[in-house]
Amino acid sequence: MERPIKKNIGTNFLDLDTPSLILDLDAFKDNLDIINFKLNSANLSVRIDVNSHLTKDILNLQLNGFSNALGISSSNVNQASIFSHLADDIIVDAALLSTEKINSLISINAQNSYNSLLQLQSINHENLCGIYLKINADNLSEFDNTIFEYTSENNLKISGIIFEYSSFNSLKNDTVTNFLSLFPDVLKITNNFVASGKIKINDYANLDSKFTEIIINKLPLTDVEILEYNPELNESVKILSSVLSIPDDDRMILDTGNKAMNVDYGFPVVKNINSAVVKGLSAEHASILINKDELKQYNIQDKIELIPADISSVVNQFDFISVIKNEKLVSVFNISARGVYK
Amino acid sequence: MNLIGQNIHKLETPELIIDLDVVDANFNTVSNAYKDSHLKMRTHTKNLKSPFLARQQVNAGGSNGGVCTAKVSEAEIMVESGFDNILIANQVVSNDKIERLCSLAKIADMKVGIDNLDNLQNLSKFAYKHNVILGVLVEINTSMFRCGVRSSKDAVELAKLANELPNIEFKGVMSHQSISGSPTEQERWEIGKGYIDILLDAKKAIEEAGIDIKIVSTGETFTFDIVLEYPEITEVQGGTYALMDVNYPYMPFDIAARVMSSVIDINISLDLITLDSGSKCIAAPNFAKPILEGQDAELIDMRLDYSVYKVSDVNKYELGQKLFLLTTHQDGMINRWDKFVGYRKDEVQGVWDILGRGCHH
Repeated sequence: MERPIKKNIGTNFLDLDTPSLILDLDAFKDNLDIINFKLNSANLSVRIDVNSHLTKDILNLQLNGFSNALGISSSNVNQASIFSHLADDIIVDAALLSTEKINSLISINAQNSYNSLLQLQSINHENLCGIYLKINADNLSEFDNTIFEYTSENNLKISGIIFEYSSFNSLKNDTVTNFLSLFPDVLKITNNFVASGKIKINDYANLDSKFTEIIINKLPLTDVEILEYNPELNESVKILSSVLSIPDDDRMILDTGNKAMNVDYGFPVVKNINSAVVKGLSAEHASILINKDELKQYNIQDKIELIPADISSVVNQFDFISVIKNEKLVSVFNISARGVYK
Repeated sequence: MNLIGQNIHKLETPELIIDLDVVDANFNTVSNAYKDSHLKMRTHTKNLKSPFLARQQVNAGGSNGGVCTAKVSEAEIMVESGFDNILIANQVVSNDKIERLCSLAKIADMKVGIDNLDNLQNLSKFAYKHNVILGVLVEINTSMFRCGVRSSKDAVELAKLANELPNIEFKGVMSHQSISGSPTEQERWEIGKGYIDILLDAKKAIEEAGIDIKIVSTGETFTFDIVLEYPEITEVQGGTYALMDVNYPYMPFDIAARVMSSVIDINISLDLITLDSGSKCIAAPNFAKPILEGQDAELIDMRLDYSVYKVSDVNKYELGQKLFLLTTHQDGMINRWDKFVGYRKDEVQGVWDILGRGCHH
């Protein structure tokens, strides 16, 4: 039997099978333009984190839409290999330690990031294409300076430094600026300083001028978190659900549980129903509490739109994304790297 | 890559591994309990998502030969894999999915849960259109407040309509329940019996309305033995028992499924180790924390692709060391993998597709 079942191009999005992961192409492209402007204003190149969407077609849109796109980052080597024909400059942004994984890394000419001296000491780095050092921008005081000494003594090819922010603010920026000013020349940085993590698009221009590159994850995809941090962006992703049951006068049950709508990082938000509160998600069901009068407008089979809390985790639950424009299905993107963990 | 015969500790990580000896033992526990009993297991494949594993319970015995699914698309996988007796223990409400359900009913005995009169009429309409018979069971809410009617009166109303509608065969009643925390044995029995009594109240009300009931389907892993005291119950919807997770340590089933991981960093000064497995490959819904098996360790941080644990003796760990993560939510974990590695006594026996993964529709 056919699986997964995909609807015909031109289908109204409300007629898609539910639960469906939906990308609004116009909102996505508008967001791309907004972000591109911010990046150019900040004189930053952009590296696209494919881990947040796992989808070749989305990467293509990003590579074509960002004027200063220079490559990709991924979270594992097999994931990188899936996208390797689309980008020459690849960082696998996770410490690879096993011989098999490092051999795979070398075969696709990708670079790797490491964040501890122990990791660097454990690998044979002679054949590596390049090493990025990864530093937690939130805890610079805990950074182990002996990494610098080790890389210098062993003449490692350090391509750049990735500073990862759990969130960006001016105080952290001052600390990073101070850290960069004391940066040892012996490192022989051949490439650049990279900012990564949760950084508002309006803060791109506030990053220290030594940053030449930023890794964007999720964007221009959106979720609850992204929209909260960047209210100027348009909502580009949603999950379409159906009302499965209305068993109480203040509750509806949707056909979307945590197998589709990953809730490891929080509950989704219900669109267009003012009083709706997500009570909980079990494996196949979402329980939504609603004002009694508002609930009277709904019947089983009705479609409900949800905004995911974290799109990166949700996208790994689906096999494809339904792409819509003016509410019609215009394309179906296969999620190329779903379930690729090694 | 052919992994057969390899020691599991040599495999690249993260990897979903399933101990087939433990699966056999879990299935045999059910077989021994039900083989001479009035009721049988109907394994719920929303947990396993593998027709291969579901078939092992049928082969072991104690099964009625059928399976449960939660979705039409899961049912399609099971029918395609040779099962011909399916209960979709959930509601199917959209027209497209009802048509697919009817398509399956041409080649298998298809039954589905109902809790709504309009839905029931729609099922009949499409079953008539496709000239098939759909079996229906009224879902009774006993505790979870998801789908399911809230009263015996509503159950009777549905049963009456089901008895009248064309191409619908009223089969009986069903329920699903869960238990949380660490109940004592006495509490488990009291809670389980309380839920079952609600289901049987609905059954009795329907029978008093003059309607025959053929199937009383209830269950969950935690009531698998309690149901034996009830001659009215005909089948048990067991799911978690097959592979188990960390939520039922008091039940006579062992954990068969693990995510094998590698240590990729050690922070000696902070007593932290980092593993190469994150939430993408092991479910952690509602902030439930996966357990690092056999270690005195507490989860500090779990991201998409790695986890950080605080450990009591950081010096005993080394980079590359293999450790095993146990999930608090087996359904979710299995659903994140396309394949599993089956092993016996550390030796890989085979790699099987998880055909029901991602069957959301």
